Amino acid sequence: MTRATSRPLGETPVAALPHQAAEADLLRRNGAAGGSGDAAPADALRPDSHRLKPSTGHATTARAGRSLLAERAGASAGAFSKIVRDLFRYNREFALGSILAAIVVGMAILSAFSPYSPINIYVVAPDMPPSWEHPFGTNSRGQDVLWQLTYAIRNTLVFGFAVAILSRIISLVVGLLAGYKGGLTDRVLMSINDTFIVIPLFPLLILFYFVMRDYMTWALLALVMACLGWAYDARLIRSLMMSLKTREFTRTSVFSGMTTREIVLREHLPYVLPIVFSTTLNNINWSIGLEVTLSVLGFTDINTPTVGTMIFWANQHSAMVSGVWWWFVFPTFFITLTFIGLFLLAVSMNEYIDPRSRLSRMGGTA
Amino acid sequence: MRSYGIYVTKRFAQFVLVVFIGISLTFFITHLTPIDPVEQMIAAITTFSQSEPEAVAMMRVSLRELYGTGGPILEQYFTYWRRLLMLDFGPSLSAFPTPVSVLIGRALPWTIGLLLTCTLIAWVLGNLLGGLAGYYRNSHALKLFGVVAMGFHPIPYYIIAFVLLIIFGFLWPILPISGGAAQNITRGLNLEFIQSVLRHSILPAVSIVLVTIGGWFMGMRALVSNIVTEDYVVYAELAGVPRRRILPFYVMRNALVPQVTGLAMSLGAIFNGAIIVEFVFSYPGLGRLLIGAVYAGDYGLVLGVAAISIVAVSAAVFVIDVLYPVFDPRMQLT
Repeated sequence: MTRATSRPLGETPVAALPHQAAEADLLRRNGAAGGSGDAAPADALRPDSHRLKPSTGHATTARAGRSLLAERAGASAGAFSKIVRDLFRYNREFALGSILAAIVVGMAILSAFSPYSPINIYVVAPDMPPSWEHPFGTNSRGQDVLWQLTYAIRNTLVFGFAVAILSRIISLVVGLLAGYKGGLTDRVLMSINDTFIVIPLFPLLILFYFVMRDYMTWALLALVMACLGWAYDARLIRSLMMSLKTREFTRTSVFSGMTTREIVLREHLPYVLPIVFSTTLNNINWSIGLEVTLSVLGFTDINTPTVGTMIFWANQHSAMVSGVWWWFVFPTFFITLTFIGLFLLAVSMNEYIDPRSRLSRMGGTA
Repeated sequence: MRSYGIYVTKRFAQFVLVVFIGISLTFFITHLTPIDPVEQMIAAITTFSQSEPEAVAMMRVSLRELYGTGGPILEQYFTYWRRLLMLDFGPSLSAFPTPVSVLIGRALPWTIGLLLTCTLIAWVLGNLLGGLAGYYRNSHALKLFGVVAMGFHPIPYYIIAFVLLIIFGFLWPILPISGGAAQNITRGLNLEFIQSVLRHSILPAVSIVLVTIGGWFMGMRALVSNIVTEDYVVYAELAGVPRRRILPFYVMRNALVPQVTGLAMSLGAIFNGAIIVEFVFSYPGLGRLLIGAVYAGDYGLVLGVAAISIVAVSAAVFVIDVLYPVFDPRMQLT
């Protein structure tokens, strides 16, 4: 073992334990407000790990690659519903996670039927405990908690999606580029990447709010958080790319005259996407968690109803002390459901992608 | 040993880069956004009072001098760095005329103490239990712990701290819910004070441990259950090495390496969480200082805490990096 003197932050020597390296990448995501360490898609690159794609082997020419993609698109709709059915039946995390997520999404959809506008106050009698008329009670600002919560959940979820999609674009570009190019590009990009992993983002976000104050809008916050929250996943995508690059079909594609852009987008992206999908769920959790925390402290646009601002207003009216418990219990409960639901979905996704953990679940020895 | 020197130098370069980018970000956020803190401050001060135009102009000049926001942008940038390296963030406006650096110095030991203890407890406990859970896959108690830890893991710190606050502050008030220690006792190295500090730190510490332990547990469990199937483990088992030796010395020893890396990578996120938890429980650390400073509109203090947080977290990561070869002996063999 003579390598190992120069390695970017956290790289594990890939000597004795080949899958530790990929695993370590996942463990980095262990953190708190953000990514979560879960079962690892360590060997996601083994061919047998992709049931989503027909295992016809890899395209030997560029043209075959194209036709295979078309074939995949056609077959995937049917295969997808079968996968979901299987997962639901055999994977308890997936079943529970999708039920919780369905409840939360259902709440968000309910907002379309709300009889009240979310920004109006004193539309119902204030401080009423839960009853048939107001299932979750009403708050001290004269709003119905149930309908208010439907808007809040909708906005919170949309926020999470916006951040996740924007930051996915950055992490895909950085990860694919660093992994495929290697060399100096890789070193520069990963140094920046590691910086964003290490820096505590919360003080930065607070500083940003402090400067922007009233100009801090919902969309601006989403944009800023997307610019800060891409680093973990870029690293994961990079490590996947590095091993994809050494595979036979990459060389075949190069020799058959495909451009770098074509190879990365047509040949490699389909392998990366399943993992990007599960990181999306984790990233939504991360961004919602930060948004709730910032709003509860009053550091966002407090007039947009989100779950965080609901708790903020409850605290402003000292709901805890004055006994209006339904005002903060219901938002807290539903946001907790959201976190657990999304997290379980992400975990079961990862497990599905990783053949080893799937085998051990089935009782075999992996 | 020369290779270790090279390694440390490289890690140090990364540390410098992190601090450089982080501090530059704070500069750009405060100096390049269209909102001028000096004008905001003047607006806030003059809103409810009569002021002479000359007084306002003088105030503007002195505030510009204080915040270093006069002159061309490049010059501002160098002034910013010079002051930062001298730990000069000016006086705090909410606790005038105490310098910001004194306030931060007062809060820093509380945050470091809380964070260090919680992170170590969660990391050691999570890895230990995770290792056991990965090795003894059929243990019901460990499976149950896994389910509970998994349930707590994705919930943000604020929610956990908030729920604990309600439970132990209102429903079953047995623990102190605010402050770092009781006010009416002499501070210093006496038993009463230490006990009070410990009692006050229980709820913040439990909040942080509850959230973080799940990540270490699940990570370690996944690593161990993969390593167990390695040939060398099977060989050790066949060779009759007792199981209680195999788990710590053959299996977990190897899994420890990525977990140490994980610790370095997630330190920033844990720090974010500690800020919130400190605020919820009014713990006298950096978190309460930072959020209180925002409410009080104390520009120098907010900037100071943000800058110090970045330096402190990246320094901690650097320390872990330097200690890394202790956990991974393969690094010393060059």
